[in-house]
Amino acid sequence: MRICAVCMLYSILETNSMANLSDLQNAIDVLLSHPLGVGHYQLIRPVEEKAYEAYVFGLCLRAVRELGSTPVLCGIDGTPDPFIFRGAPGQIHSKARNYGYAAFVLNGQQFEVHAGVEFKGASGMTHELDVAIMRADDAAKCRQEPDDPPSASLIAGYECKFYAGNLQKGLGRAFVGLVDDMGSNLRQSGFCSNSVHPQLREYFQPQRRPHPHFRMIPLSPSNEDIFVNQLKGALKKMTAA
Amino acid sequence: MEQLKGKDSNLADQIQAVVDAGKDIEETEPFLDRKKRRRYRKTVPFTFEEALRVAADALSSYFIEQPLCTNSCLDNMREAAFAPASPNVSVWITSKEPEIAFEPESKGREKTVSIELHTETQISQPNRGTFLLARILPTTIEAQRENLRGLHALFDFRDQ
Repeated sequence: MRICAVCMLYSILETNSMANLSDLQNAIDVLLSHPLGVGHYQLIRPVEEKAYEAYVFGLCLRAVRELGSTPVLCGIDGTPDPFIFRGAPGQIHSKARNYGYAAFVLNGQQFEVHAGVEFKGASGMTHELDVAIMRADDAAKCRQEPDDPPSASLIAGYECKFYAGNLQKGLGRAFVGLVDDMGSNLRQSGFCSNSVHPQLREYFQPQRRPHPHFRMIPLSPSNEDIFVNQLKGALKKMTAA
Repeated sequence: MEQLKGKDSNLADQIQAVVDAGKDIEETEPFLDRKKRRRYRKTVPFTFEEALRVAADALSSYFIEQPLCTNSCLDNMREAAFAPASPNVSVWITSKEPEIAFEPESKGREKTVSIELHTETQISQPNRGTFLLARILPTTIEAQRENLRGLHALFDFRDQ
């Protein structure tokens, strides 16, 4: 039976001497009416998942910066001002808008960071990666001669999920399947979320499975550091002279 | 929930779904023929008090975490640079020649970041353009965090 939260609230308050109903109603009203309350949520709701991808994209730029390189923001059709993130999975060569990506160089090797781009899996099936780091020459080739980038061009791939409650197990299973189809060049893969799922953490434990970057939000800087340091380590290792 | 429903029924439904998902607990029961007890997982509803906390945490995801993620993204984008303005030039950057690789003055400057609302294959709705990721003042976020702390304090039933 579905439990009505209001009924729950009343039953608690009937026996609670520390708070009365009007205190609680006032507190909820202040919370919901705040500029970051319901009005803000209504604005951000259509893009909440994409906004989280943009956050993870930003953490990749931070890793690049901390390795001593300057991430350079590019657009498929010129300077990306504004920098536009895709609203749905798309192709790397698409010029429907001036979609943004970032380029960087480490020890003479060039890479790009993309969001929402589809890659060709080893099976031939295409998969979207929420955030991906790939070799720049492969990316340039796919822009010049329109094609989906091959899985071999991929260095790192991340799934990004913004959830108010616990994550769903199926999301983890789907991403493991995707990573499996991406071949062995993929150095780093991670499942990034503001939320958590205790069983998924266990599910991701075997080798070659994505790293669970759970509770990755600015309020947990140590989790952000783990993400950034892992990426730095992988990039450093593969570009070492 | 009624207050929330009155302001945004979609958000109220999402919070209700989070509460209704319940939680996993570990139950134990004795083996019939052994002294040792066996353990198993069981999904149960939240207690009333837990449900209130879970609902408040879910609101925190939307009201606190999301704005902080936006600010973090904008911080990291600000420290990046723009590629040279000349169109149709592949950006081949080398660490030895950074001056030709990017516009140095753009480094450290706030970038305009937006998310596509009307996707390239979508024909079902009129063009809705893009959504601008706007920076939120830290003081505004802190004030909302304080509101949530106040709400949590009202959920303190330890003396009951």
